[in-house]
Amino acid sequence: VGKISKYRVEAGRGALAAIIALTAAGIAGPYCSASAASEPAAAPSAGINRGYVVTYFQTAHSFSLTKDEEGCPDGYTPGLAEVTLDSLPAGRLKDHLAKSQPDRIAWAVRAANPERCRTPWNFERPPVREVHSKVAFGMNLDGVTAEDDPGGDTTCAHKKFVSPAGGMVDNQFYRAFGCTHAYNVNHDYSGNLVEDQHHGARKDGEMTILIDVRGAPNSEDVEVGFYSSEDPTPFNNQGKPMQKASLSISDNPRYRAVTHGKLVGTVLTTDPVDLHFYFNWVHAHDDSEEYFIRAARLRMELRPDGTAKGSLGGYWDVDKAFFTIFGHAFPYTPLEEASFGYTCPAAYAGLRKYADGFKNPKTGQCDGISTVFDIEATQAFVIHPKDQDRRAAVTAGAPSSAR
Amino acid sequence: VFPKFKLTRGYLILALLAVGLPAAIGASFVFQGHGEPAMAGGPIKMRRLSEAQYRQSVADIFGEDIKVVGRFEPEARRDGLLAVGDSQIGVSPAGFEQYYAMARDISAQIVDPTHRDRLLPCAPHAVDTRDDGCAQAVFQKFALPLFRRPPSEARMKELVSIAGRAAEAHKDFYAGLQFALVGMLASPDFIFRVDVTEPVPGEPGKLRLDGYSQAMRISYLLVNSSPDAELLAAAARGDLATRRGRAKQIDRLLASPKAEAGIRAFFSDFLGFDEFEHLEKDGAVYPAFNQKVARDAKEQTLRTVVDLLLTRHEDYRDLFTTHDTFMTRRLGMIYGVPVESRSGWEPFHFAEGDPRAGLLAQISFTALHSHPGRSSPTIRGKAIRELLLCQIVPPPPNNVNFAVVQDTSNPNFKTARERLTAHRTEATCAGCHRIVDPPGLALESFDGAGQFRTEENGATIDAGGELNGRKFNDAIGLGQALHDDPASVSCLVNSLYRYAAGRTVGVGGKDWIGWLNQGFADDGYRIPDLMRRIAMSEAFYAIPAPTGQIAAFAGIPESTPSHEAQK
Repeated sequence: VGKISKYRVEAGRGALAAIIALTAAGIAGPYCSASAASEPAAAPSAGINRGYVVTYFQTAHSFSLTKDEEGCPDGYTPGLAEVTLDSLPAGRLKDHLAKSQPDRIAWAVRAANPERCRTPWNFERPPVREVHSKVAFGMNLDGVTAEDDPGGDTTCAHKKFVSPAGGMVDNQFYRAFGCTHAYNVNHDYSGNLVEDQHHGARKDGEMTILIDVRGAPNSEDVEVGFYSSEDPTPFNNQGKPMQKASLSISDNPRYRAVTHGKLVGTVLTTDPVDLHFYFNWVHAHDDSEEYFIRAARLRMELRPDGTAKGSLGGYWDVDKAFFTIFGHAFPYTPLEEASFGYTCPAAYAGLRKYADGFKNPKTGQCDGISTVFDIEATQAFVIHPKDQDRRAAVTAGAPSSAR
Repeated sequence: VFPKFKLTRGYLILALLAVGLPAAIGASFVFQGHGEPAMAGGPIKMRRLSEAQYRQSVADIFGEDIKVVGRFEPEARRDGLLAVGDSQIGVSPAGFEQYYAMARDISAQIVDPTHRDRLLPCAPHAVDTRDDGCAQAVFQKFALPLFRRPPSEARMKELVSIAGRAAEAHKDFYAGLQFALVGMLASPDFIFRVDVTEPVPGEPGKLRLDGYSQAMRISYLLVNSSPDAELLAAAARGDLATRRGRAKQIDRLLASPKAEAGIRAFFSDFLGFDEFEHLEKDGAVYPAFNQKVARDAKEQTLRTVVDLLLTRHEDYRDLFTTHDTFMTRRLGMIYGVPVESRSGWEPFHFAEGDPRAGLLAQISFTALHSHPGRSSPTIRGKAIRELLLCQIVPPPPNNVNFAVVQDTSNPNFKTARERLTAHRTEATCAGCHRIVDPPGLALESFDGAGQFRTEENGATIDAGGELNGRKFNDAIGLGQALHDDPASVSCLVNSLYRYAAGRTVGVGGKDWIGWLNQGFADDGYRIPDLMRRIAMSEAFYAIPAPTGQIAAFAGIPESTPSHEAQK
């Protein structure tokens, strides 16, 4: 009970095994030319060979499934402006700030210590107000089918949601932040921090994710690669994704991962795999700002028009999640805390409190929080460097005539 | 008269060679001995530099880092080529203002502290006043390449005087220099290629182009820029009056890296690439197409041309069938092919069986000859007929009704073929459409941005057609039809001559153009060889016999043997 499925990352031994396996299956041969590219999704019959660029990737929205008063009966987690206001003694200043949101935000920003977002664990932690609704989008990551998940060797106890499609699913990220202004798209705050900033960043070329799918003809078994790319995601001047772009995978092996998958009809599912997605955020100061999703698994429909849509679920590393979403703007974070409606200490504490996967044997705490992302993609040529032995061998040589 | 005249000269050459007097062989003798039929000379010309020629000349003379910023007066396409138009247009007052502004800007860069040490041959004794000696050295350095001939003594004196007076007035030597340099750059001697004649030595009453005028013709044909120092030196020595001397310079230029500019310039003109300036696509219909794609599309074709015809020295006709080209990622999105290089160009080969091959399947043709939001078999067919076959397609009648053709949402006419078939039922339209539509319809597999497609509005596209009796099923077949069509070869030959000479081949030039066509075939349809053949020909430098005022000016009686011979 509560055991996380095995996963594998791209590594020397695994790579060699894969090459041997593919060669034995008789499909590595055609891919052994020097250059490399995946065909767009409308692939010819000569084997499965599809490339995609992710055009939308956000934590799944479950807000529309439940009324606000049911989902958040305790109200919303106070943002920095509200916390600051509460801390003021009664008087004219407090009365004024209670009436004026701009002044309240300005005052809170001035009063806040920016360090609170760099070392949030050192600051007071007003609790996040959790989601109480029973229904949410998610994925059953640990295999437990009971609502009260007792946890296990590698997981921590938590409550499950009921999926709109039926069955118990995990999504502790939503449990923790569904009642936080910065996350809830329905709330009339400054906007949704995750949606606005992260999708905006993708449109600005700061985060590009590539996926390719390869396999032998008429086989359901496929190999699925996930990669970051330094090339911008192709959007046209009207903000619409464009197809058939050639995009190179990252040179950094940290941002490349390969796993086994199944392609049944048009539906692709994968085995769990650890994923690092590079996030070239403007205030990046180290590698904290990347998506690190452990034991991630994909379920995606590959459509005939070259687009794909589905979900990616996994355990979002708590520290990475914090610095990617809430603490990324240091030292300007207080402005975001106040204007988007969150506080760094509460966010960090919430991530820690609701984390449910990858239990650290030393601390007994979980370091990963179950999260489900909505994902959309469109066909692209995924270009692998020539000197990248395994992936080049596997994915090289898409015929130029294929489109 | 002419054949006899030619025969006589041919025998004369043989006789001279036989007695060991090669040095005595003059330009007016040798050409007729190489099988070249005579052709009446063209008028003495002032040809305005094209924008590319102006820019390249400035870069060659002053360096690539001197920026040319400004708007050039539009060129005019005459007889199918801008090069012909350049010899028929002048400069308007507004256009001259632009040339003057550019001259000021270029001059300022030449004398500014970052460039003067490299460009100027001397430094003044004092920077706050005139230094005629240094100014003279500067003008001696630049006048020859700018005017493409040595300046007269009076002109040099005038330049030094202008620079001196301006330096005194501004208390700045470099300001004075700049003042005079503006005059040089805005001079007709720079903006125009001016033909100058000289008497033929030993043949009283006859004129010929002087060596510098010949150098200009050679240089602008082969490298699309001003004659370099070596060519000017050859002109000064009189080398260009001999076949051997001329061949040495022509072969040197054709073997130099600059020859690429010559090939590019001709094909840009021949393929009507000036139209890229006005190319717009509807972003809602073709989101992947933008100005950068357009720029790459033009460059792709020019790279293909240079690689195939110059670097690999292959058959011109293969341009219509070649599977080799070059690709960028931006173009890859339109072609739907993977491109490995993150930035820049990489060679690309369309595999056997790919629906694309040759010039006509490239975006520079399919997108350039389309509407902003849809393809156009008519525009494409017209371009094939006019640009590549040198045929004339009359404009549509004024009262023509385009409603059926333009309505792409009509469920009764889903494909362009169906719409045009309906349109052709109008008798006034049928004649021309019967000529232009069949080749144009073969390219219907490519939409208005050049993207491959097999359907339009859900209906399968029939890309079959016919060109000058050759039938085909698709764009590949159309390319092969053009490859095999003698008309496409003769059009190229005719166009390259018109480009070189700035004029059409006259009525009397039938034999000569036939000789050039045969030579092109003998050379295996190699473009550099054709350029060489033209540059070596007598016709390229031929001028009309002096008559009237010109004859009087040159002190020549009107009725001369050569004048009579050319009638």
